[in-house]
This record gives sequence, structure tokens and C-alpha cells, in this order.
Amino acid sequence: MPIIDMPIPMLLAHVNKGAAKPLPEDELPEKVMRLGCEVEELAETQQFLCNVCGKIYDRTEAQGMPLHCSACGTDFRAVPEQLGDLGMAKVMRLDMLAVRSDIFDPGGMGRMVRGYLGIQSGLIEYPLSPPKITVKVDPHLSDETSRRPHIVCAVMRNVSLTHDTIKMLMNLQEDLHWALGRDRKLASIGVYDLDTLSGYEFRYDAVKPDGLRFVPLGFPPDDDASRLTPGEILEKHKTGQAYAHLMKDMTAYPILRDGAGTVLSMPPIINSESTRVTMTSRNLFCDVTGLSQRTVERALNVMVTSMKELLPEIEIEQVTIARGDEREITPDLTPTEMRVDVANAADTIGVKLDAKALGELFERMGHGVSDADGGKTLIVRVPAYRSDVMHPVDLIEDAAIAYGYENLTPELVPAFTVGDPQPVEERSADARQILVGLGFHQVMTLVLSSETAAFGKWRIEPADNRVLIENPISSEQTMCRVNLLPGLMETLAINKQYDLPQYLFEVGDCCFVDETTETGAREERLAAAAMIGTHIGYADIRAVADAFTHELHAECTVQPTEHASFIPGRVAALHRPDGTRVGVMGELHPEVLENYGLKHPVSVFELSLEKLLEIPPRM
Amino acid sequence: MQLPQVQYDVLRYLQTLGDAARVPDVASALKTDQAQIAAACTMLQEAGYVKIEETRFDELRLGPDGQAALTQPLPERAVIGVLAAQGGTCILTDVPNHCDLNSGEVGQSLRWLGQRGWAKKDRDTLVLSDAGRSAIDGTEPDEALIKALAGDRVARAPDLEKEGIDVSAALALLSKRKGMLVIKERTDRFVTITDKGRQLLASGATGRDSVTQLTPELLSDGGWRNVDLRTYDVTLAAKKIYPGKTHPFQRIQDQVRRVFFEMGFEEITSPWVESSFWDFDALFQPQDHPARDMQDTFYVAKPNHCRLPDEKLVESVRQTHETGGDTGSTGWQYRWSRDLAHKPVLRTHTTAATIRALARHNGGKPGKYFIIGPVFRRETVDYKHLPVFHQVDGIVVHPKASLATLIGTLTAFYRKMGFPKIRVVPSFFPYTEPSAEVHLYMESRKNWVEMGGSGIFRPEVTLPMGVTDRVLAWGLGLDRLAMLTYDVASLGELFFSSMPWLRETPVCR
Repeated sequence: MPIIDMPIPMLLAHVNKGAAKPLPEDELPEKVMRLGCEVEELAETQQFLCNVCGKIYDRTEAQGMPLHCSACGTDFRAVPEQLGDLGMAKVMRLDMLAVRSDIFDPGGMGRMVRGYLGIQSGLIEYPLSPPKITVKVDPHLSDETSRRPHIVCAVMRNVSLTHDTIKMLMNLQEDLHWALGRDRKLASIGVYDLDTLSGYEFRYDAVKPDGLRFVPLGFPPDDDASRLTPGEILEKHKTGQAYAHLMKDMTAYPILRDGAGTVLSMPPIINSESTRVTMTSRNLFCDVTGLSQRTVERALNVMVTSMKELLPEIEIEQVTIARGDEREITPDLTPTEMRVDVANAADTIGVKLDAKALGELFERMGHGVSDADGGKTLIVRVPAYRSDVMHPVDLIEDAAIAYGYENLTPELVPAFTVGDPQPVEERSADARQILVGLGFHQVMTLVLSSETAAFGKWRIEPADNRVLIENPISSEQTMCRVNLLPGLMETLAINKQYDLPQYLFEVGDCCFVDETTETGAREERLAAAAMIGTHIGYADIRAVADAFTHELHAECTVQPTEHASFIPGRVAALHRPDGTRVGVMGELHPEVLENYGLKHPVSVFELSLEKLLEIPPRM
Repeated sequence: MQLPQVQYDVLRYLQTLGDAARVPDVASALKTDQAQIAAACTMLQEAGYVKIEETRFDELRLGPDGQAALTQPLPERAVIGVLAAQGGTCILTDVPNHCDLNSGEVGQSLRWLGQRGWAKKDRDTLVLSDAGRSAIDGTEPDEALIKALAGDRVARAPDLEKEGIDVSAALALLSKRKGMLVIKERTDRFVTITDKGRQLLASGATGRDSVTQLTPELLSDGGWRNVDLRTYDVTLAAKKIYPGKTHPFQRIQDQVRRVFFEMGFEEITSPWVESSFWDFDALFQPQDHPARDMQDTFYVAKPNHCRLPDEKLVESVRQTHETGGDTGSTGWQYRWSRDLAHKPVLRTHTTAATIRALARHNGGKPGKYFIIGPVFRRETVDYKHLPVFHQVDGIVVHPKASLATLIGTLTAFYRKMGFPKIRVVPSFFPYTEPSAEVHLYMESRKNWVEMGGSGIFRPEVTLPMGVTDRVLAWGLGLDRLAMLTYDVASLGELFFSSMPWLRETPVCR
């Protein structure tokens, strides 16, 4: 979940455009929360400008200045003069989930708030001009070794940019890279100054790593040394290095060029310096390339409609994508139609709603609505920028949000049901009660463990039936725990400086490989207790174990046994009358104590509660 | 007549002494604790057998400057020494050249030279007086007092008088000099036997034992009737002891379980090692979803393969992913891989258990299920994150399930958890639609705290399980609730607990 800095003045200006009753600034966070966005904080941020590529950064005091440019890779520590200061800005910091990429920017967010407040409701039609530019797609881009087959494009004419709108454009691009593009893997976006380009036949080709040279964004344009091959960019350019993994195993790289052969970009890595968008750019070309047609379309739709929201004067012009004889015109802003059952929608929300009332709710969320069959079903036209709607239920949620969760009357389902505990939990509660009565403190330790903790420190060989993690994050957690004693001993070890004696216990699950089960492993509930003190010995733990099993009303016999973790002759196995071994108890071996840095004797027991009490299997 | 033994002993002692005695002297003579003697005296006085007279006196000991004066003469004495040696006069600024005093100390000595009449200042010259000359070999009362208090002695003024020291003259001089003496006002209690006391003894009164411990012997032979049970200072603090206790985190889990049972819920479980099918696919999580990355989820190397449930269910899940199947959804529009579904993971959420319960659920009847258990995420350890944490999940299957009943259920649940004020706001979660987030108002923090997610399961989740009723679902992270409840700053305290925390955290909140 990224934090998105929503510039408050820009958002509020957009929300209140043409509003009869403007929304006051202090009510904005509450409204945004009621629309499902989590407002982390309202903050003042300092704005920095990358003089090399024009990227603008909002940084809180805690974040400090950016160290290098995420757009062009300029290292500001090396060239501090390239980092400009644009002063302070008021932002609302939102913790956003990826699904609603259409509200990441003041344009899209403003559009939603306007609808919600009823300033402008219903489906918004964005006019499109017919295509002039064609992009020819190289079929090799569908090959395994040069794969980035999908591309959609748009032209935006009559643009006048400010620092604020450039920032918004770049931030939206980055946020979409994250939310829809999976960090540029599935989709990546490029925006260029169209007036630096020529011709109407653009080409999107697969090019060999040394097939051409161009100056990547952020490199000095007049220096011949700046002209790099695609292969060199992956090695030498900061952004190239950062995203080189996306080109792994590829023998040719995607390159977008204009009619004169000028390189626009090498998707998804970097744009060229010569096509860079500046404050003086008047016409923009925009492409989205990627691995999934759905994703690139969605990203482009969000991009152009959000821009249009903020800059109403711009003209969106379509682009023809040519694949052999096939032609596709993008962007395609045709709404998706979805049928919603009115009664089902009302029941799902839990209110009485007729088709008219429901239709109004949909319209406040920016949808187009028409009645299909006299009030039973609504046909909802879902705007093209909404990539999250998969099912009518997604629209019902929209209606619920427009209705307002706070306006619903909380009710309970009218159902008489009987509470029912798991037997293993009930018996564990008994076990805990007994040990507490014996003066023990319960601990709850981590259920992940390691070979060293579970076996090595205990002078025993690793058990074969342990569950192994394939991708552990630390050497201390490589397996599920198979015993409770290591956790007890670790707790004693961190409590060495406190009064003795100390009596601890844990009742909890351990996990073992078991091929008879569906998933190949199963949990087992164990109980263990440890006593440390100057005069603690076998007799003490024997007394505790006897009391414990007696109170559980379980019969148990005690037999001498051998166990490397214990002092020979001071260790016993616990058996059920039918001979099943359920656990062990005794005085720990001095070497085990040493391994935990303990200076006093420790006596322990550990047994399987499930075996001891023959607890029915869990459900 | 019988008296408590101590009172009897005091009375006898006073009679024998035939004079007034101070309480401490009585205590040391009787080899008994002073507090007991004092208490006995008070009781004897109340009965009229003794009388107590209080005298105030000063208790003296040396201050830091007084301690210094033991080893070096007072400055005015040093100055008259210089004057005598210099023939009776000396230029003021020249005095430091003839003794250990610096010019500041010489300046300060002028006041005392004047007061004692030892010397006079004549413009820039000091002139020794007759009194000064005769004082050179003498000892002043204050000097005598300082000497008498050597060795950290704490002395009563009357005792010093007895030693021949003119205490009042000494104090007149010294009490004006800061740091020379520490004077405390004390009270002496003098106890004298009265005629009534003497008569009592003459009438044959005896003492009676007082004991601390009531012994079995005293009880069995009735001896307790002839002894006094000593009184205690019942306000004194006792030794700290601690009962054995369940873990604070356990107590939160116990409370959650109790709440669910009171609301008619059935407890369910699911395995830690879970198939990707149940952990992700059954929840309509696309197979390329970032949550399924090796980066975020623990995959299991052993066992390395999970079985899938019955084919009809698997097929239904596949179709839902690919095209939406019969659920009315567009699906994710990709090719679903069975191999990925077999892969075991450490369960990433307890929702894996609720979806299993849904698959088992006998359609047509209402159902309420809950689980509390550990879940696993590949998190780097810090004070707020561990690779293991604990979740609660509850679901309600019912034809009347709706957003309104969800909010009603959440309100009831959190009220029973001790949070009467909650706020439910929209949110966007992957497998619920509508989705809602719960904010609790924490009285202790005077603020809203985000506590958990909730919603109605998507049809793409419930329909493949054969459940046609809507299903309310909500969950919360217990570790965070525990941190807030017990005000612990780090998860480490919960799972690597210190003895003081285990011992001191009260059972009740």
C-alpha cells in the first residue's frame, strides 16, 4: 500500500468547480474517509524539483530531501544544484489500496468526490478526436525472447502545464506503475513532448541490445558519450540498472520510435532525453506498453481521463495501433454495461431501495443508469477508468458507499445458533488452569523455530518429520516448531537477572510432517513446564507432572528412559496405560544449561496433550 | 492485677530507680526495643501509673564548615595571630602574606573580629585590641563546642552543658555562621513512677508474657489466656508475592472466544501448512497476485505437495478464476494453474479456515464460525512485526446477511470486547464486496484506532463453495489489539516476555 500525497488546494479546487455550495477544506478528510480512503494525516510537505527531468517531489520533514531522482536517476548527492526547491505544499496523505487506481490523483479523486456530493453526477463522456498517428507493432514483440506485446497510445493536445500539473502527471504515472503495472512489469507508461516528434507512422519494435543509440532521460543531450545502446542503458543508467531484471533472458528490447526514427523510449525502462516533457510542452504523446492488454488499456484510460479532469481544455486524440492488417483505436473509453438486480442490491446493503433510488446512488458514483424492465433490473454503464468492477456486487458496494455506511441501521441476523468450542481448546484451558494453580506463569513463544534452537542446543539430531520453510527470512526461523521446551528455555535465558525460582509453562501447537493428511502436515497440542532454581531437581518436576496428569484425570506411568538432553538417570518417559509414550520429564543436562547460559539447575516436562487425553481430531 | 510483661518491667525499673528516666535509657536498661517501651509508657501513663514530662532540647552536630574548623583555626583567630606577630598592626591587604587565608577570607573575618572585639579597622590597617591580645592563647566557647563535637558526635545540648561547655554562648556565636552546625530540636520524654504506680506494685501486681506467634502449644494448653499477643504495625508493606498466571495475550484470546460463544459461534481450525488452493485460490486471489510472491509468503519445502479437495470444487474455482464461471463475474481472464494450487504455504491468514468451513457448511441453514490462530508472513522483524502473528476471523452465513447486519454484528462483537464506540467506514479488500473497515474509539488514547477489515464475501468466493447465502466476514489482528490493550511498545514483550512483566501485569484490566 503506498502513501499518496494528495495536494489539497488542487483537489479542493477541482471538487468545488461549479459547485453551488463549495465543500469547506476541513470537511474534506471526513468525506474522503466516507468514500473508503484512509487518511493517514494532513501534512505540510516541502516540494523539490529535479532540474534534469522536471520530476517534483513532496517530502515531509521526516523524509528529508530525495537522494536521487526516481524518474531519471540523477544522483542529487553528486549534483546538488540539480535539486530545486519549490516551497511548501499542503497535502492529505492517503493510504491507498491498489484496486482504485482511478482515484490516485486530484483529477480522479476530485471526480469521485464531486459525484458523491452531487455536484456532478452520472456518467461523464470524454470527447475523443479521431486518430492521426499510427503505431506499427513489430510481431517479434510477442516472441518469448523479446516479449512486451501490448501497446496502447493517446495524444493530448492543447496542454498548458504548470509545476503542479507536471508533478501530478508524473506522480500518477508512478502510482499506476505500482498499482496496475506491478512496478512496470505488467504495464509501464511513457509521456513525451509530441512537438519534438515527427511523422505520423510511429514504430514499436524489438531491437537488438546494440541495435541503435539514443540519449536516455537525465543524460546531457549534447554529449556524444550520452548516446547509449539499449544494452549499455541497462548497465550504465541508474533506472536501467534498477529495472534490468525485467529484461532478463531477452535478446531484443522494445523500442518506440517516431516517423523519423527518433527514439521515444525503451519500455519499460526509460524515455529518451530529447522527447522530454517540459513546462513549455503543448502537445503530449502517451503510450502504455505491457504484458496484459487489459492492464495497459486501464492504465491509459485512467491517465487520459484524469488529465482531462484537471485540464478541461485539452483535446484527447486517439491513436491507431496496427498489427499486420489488424487495426485498433486507442484509447477506447466505451463504458462497460452491467445488469444489477434491484432487489438483490437492496438486500445486500440491507435497506429498502427502489430502482429510482438505487439509480441515483449509482449516478452519484459516476455511473450511467437505465431501467431494463420496469424497475426490477438496472443497466449500469461503468466508466472506462474503473478497472475494479468485475461483478454487479462491485457496483452494489458503490451504491452502499453513496448511501453512506453511517446511514445504515445496524441489525443482527435473526438466527438462533449454538456456540461450540473445539475440544482441544477446552482441554488446553484445563491444562493451563492446573499449571497456573501450581504457581506457574504461562508464556507464549514464537511457533517458528530452527534446527539449532530445536535440536542443536538440546544435544539431539534433527527430527525427520519437521516442516521446512522453503524461503526463510532468517536463520532463526527455518521450520515450524516441533517442541515447546526451546521457547521456555529462551524465556528463562532472558530472565536470568530476576528472582529465582521461576516456573514457566506453555500449552501450544507444534507442527509435524504427516503424509496421511490433505496438506501433508498436522498440528499437535503439547504442554510443557520448566522450573529453575538453586535447589530444583527431578523430584520437583515429578511432583508437578504427577499433579498435572492427576488433575487432568489422565492415567500415566513413569518409566526410566535415556535422552541426551537430560542428566542420565534423572529422566523418565510418561506413558499412557496402553503403552503410548506421551512425553518426557527430568533434570536438564548441564551442557543444555550452558547452551542457554543458565547457572542454575532446570527441570522440565513436555508431553502431548492430544495423545495423553485422546482428544478428538480438530475441525 | 496483671500487667503486660513490658509495662510491669518498666514500672518495676522506675520504682527501683526512684527517679525520672528517659525512654531510651529505660529501653537499654531493659534490653527491649525502644518503640515497645514507648508504647508501654504511654499505656502506663494513660492508666495513671507513671507520669511523662517532655523537655525540648537541641541536638547538635557539626556541619561541613564546622568539620573544617576542627583542623584549621577560625579565620579571626588566624588574623589575631598575624597581628600579634606583626607588632599589633598590619595593613589589611598584607595579612594574606602572613597566614593561610586568602584576601576574601580575611575580609570575612573582619565581622567576627569586630564582634569579639579582637581588632579594629583603621582605614587600611588592622589594629589588635587588648581583648584580642588576651584571647590569643585562650579558647572561646564556640571553639570549645566544635572540639567537643569532633568525631561526628551527635550531642544533646544538656549533655554538653554538663561537660562544662557554655552552649548558649557558643550558639550565639556559631548560629550566625552558616555551615558550622546542624541543630535539630528534639524532645526528651522523662518517665517517673506515680504514687498510684507504686501502690499497684505494692498490691502484688504481676507481669504477663506477650508473644509474637500463637503456637499450637499455647492453643492446646490454653496458655494463650495468660499471654498477650503482641500488636503489629499493620500498615507496614509485606513481602511481594505473585500468583501463577495465564499470559496476558492468552487472556485476550480467552475473551475473544467467550464473546464468540456468547454470540452462538462454532469454533473452527485449519492447518498451519496450507495448500495455495485454500489460502489463495479459493478466496479468488489471482495466481499472479503480489501477495503470492516468495517475497511475502512462506512457501514450504517439506512437505512439498498438498492434495486438492474434490474435483468438482477445484473445477468450479478454476472456472471462476478464468471466466467467472457461473458466478456472474468476468473472472480474472487468465489460465489457472493447478500446479500452483498444490503448493504448500504457511497459511497467510485465518480466512483459509473460514473458507474451509464454508466448503463444509451444510447449505440452507444459518452458520456462524470463528477461528483464532497464528498466521505467517515473510516480514522482517521489528518492534511491530514478527513473521508470526495472530488473527481472528468470524463469518456468518445467513439469507439476511447484509451490510446492515454486518455493521450490527460488528457493533455487538466489539461492544462485548469492551469497545462501545465503533465506526465502520468503506474500504477496498480483495475478497469482500462491499468491504468495511472498523475503527475503535480507545478511551485510553482519546482517539480512533483502525482495528480490522470486514465485508461480505464476493460471490466468486462463496458460490464455488456451494454457498448461495451471503456471508458476512470480519477479522482483526490480535497482536495489535494486545499491544494497545497492555500498552506494550514492542511485540517482543508478548512473545519473549520478561519475568517482571509476567509477574506484575494484573489479571484484570
